Amino acid sequence: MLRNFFVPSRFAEPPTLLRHHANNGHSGLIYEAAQLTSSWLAPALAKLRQPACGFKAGSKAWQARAIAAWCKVAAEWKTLRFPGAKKILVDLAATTGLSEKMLKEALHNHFGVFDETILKEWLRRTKQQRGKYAVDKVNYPALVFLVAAGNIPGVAIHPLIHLSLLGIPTLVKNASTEPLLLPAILETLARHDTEVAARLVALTWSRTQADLTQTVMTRHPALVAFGDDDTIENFAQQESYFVDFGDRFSLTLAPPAGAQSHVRKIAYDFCMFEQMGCLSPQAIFLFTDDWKKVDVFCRQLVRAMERMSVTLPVRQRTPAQQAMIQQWRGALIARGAAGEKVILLTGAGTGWTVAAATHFDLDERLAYRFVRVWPVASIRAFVEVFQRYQKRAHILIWGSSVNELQKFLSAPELDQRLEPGPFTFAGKAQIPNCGWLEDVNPAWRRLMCGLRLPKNI
Amino acid sequence: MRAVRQINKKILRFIQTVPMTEFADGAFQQLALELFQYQYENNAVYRGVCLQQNLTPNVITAWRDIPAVTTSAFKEVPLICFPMNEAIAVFHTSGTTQRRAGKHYFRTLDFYRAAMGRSFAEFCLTPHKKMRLLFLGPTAEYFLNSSLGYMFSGWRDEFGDEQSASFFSPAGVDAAALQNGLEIAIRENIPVFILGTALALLECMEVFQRQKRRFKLPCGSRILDTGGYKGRRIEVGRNEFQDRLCASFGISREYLLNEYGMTELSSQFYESSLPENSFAPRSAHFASPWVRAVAVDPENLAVLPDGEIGLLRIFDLANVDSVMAVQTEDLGRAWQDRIELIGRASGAELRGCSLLTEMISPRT
Repeated sequence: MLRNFFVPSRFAEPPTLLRHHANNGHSGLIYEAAQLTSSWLAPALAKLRQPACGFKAGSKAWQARAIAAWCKVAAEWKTLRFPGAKKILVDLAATTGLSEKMLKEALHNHFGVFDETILKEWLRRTKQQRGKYAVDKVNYPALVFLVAAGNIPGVAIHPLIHLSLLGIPTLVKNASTEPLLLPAILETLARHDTEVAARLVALTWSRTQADLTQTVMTRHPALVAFGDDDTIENFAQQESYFVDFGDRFSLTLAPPAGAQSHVRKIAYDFCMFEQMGCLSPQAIFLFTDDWKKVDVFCRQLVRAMERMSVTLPVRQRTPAQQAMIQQWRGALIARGAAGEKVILLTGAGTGWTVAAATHFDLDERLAYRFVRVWPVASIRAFVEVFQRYQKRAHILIWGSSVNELQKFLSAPELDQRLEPGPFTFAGKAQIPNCGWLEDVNPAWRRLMCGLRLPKNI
Repeated sequence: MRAVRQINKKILRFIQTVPMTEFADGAFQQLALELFQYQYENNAVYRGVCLQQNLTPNVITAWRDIPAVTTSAFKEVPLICFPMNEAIAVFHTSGTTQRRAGKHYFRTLDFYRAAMGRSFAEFCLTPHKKMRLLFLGPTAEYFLNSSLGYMFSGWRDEFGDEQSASFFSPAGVDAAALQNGLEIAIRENIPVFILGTALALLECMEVFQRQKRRFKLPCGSRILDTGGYKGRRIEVGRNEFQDRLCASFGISREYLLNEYGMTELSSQFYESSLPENSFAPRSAHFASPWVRAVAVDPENLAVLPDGEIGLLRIFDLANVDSVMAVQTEDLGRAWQDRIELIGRASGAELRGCSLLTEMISPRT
């Protein structure tokens, strides 16, 4: 049976109750839930294996051991070849609301992007970066408090692996909407190496249980928070080192006459995780002002979305999700009726939507395979729009060939007026490389390098 | 122009005179189809919406089939049957700093006033003609573009006694003044009617709780709340909220009323189980006979049979100069004369008047 917590073997297990899981209308799973109290949590945290190893003398042995353990975990989870894997997949589908095929794909993406060589290289690069900051170097924090978000199952896996390789004691607070995946993964880790697992704890409690949060905060951890604006605001008030992975989104750029293979990759980015993550694109900027070409592109995309409905099926939309989709569509129908140029293409139900219009409000975050196509006449026109959203835009995704991208990157407007975040290619946005967090978040990079962290960066 | 005057007259008379228990299709159907024809002809955006679906007055023969616009459409485009410069009032949805507000334009507020007055008197005021109304929500003096503000002020003018007052301003809720008002009413043994947003009521109850102050309001006193609070700073379940109201103000549960309405509509639904009335079941929100609701399948927007759960679609004859048929994002069941609310799309932006309260309340 799945549990909403993982504690190392040296911990006294918390008392538990059986709970019925309900996530945004999806339900149907009984799991074991820890009944946490401050009086249990405070002494338990003191038992975490400490202190951090970092790169100090003797750390190589730890790093080798941690790499070996995580590679064994990855080998099992990326192919789901371990006892009970099928059951876990079914249960996770019930809790996340994602289809089993999508979950399988997600786990493959999470665990397929690293191996021993890549993790070693990551350590080497981190050490090298750390070396550049001789004056600013301090010890690694005695505890990291990692607050995971529930929108993307396993969003905390990569940061957790990195923290583990550096031997930094870490407490993960799971999202109450998706509390089961990480504990299950850590159980696997503990099976392979109890010592590596002894520096990691994953627990679940709600925002209203402030006493538990305060119990953790009394240990002055470095805070790493994934989540929505409310979550980030909530934790930003804590006096602590703070690494914020808050609300962000990505954008796709594409020429109008993309090859169908590229369009399929664009569709993949929109469908994966039902467009709910920071790496999910919110819109496609299509470089044309010819609406015939826009129409052709949209229809190409429709074919790709239909295909994705088979390879990455939607599990079952909740009425709340369906309601939102209908409202988003309704707004576009009205705009079209008022004389604006609007293309709105949908499947029979709420499975997917492809919409093109002369402008969109990207502050209104959409999801559930709702593709907004925003035609722009030039790179300059794109830059003007992009500057409005630059703070929130996480990565830019190029939806065509390398040759096209090279043309784009040499555009003087881009060089002069824009500091684009990391670029990636369509189809790769949901399969980030192992070190992507450092690329997009300087505060996280400082934490990994063991540098002095200002409070509330 | 003559046709406009005619439909206006017919609908106003219907709202003012139809028996409150009259839910047969006959007269409503006829007026709904006439109003659809009028809106199709005079509201260019709505006509465009209808044409996209090939649903024109020639093919629509029943009120249930009249095409609806989503509440989100009110944020995007003006949905009006008259030149915009003739608008005498515009009500805005609460919105947030990040989101655009929806706008509902009015050429006349006669229908709105008639609808809100008649239904309030019927569902909430019985057996009184006037009461001491104490408001914990926006009023028109401060909140010109708030439909709730207009409604509260209208009720105060029509049904409030001379001591009726508002304890809500842009500065927030004035719990001390409310306390004073309640103490006077208790001393004089005059039943009071507290009307407010759920958030404002919660805020007052918290103040009273801190002061360990409880009231025993005079017999016949009642409380009406409106707007939601889930997902905001304060979250309590409906049952707990009602228990707290009963405990704080010393009234029994049948004197708790709830209003369901939205800026995009001109009429309201009421949850009302006053002993003086005979509306049942308690969980239902009752419609007035110039309003109908259906539930539609959220997947494809097909109309569902009575009693099945779906997204609520409201047909409001008092929405004369905008669009009568409004597709909400609220989940519920619908019958001829009532709806049962199940919930609002979680994750969708929070709408409704409670947000207004929170926006101006100091953050704790």
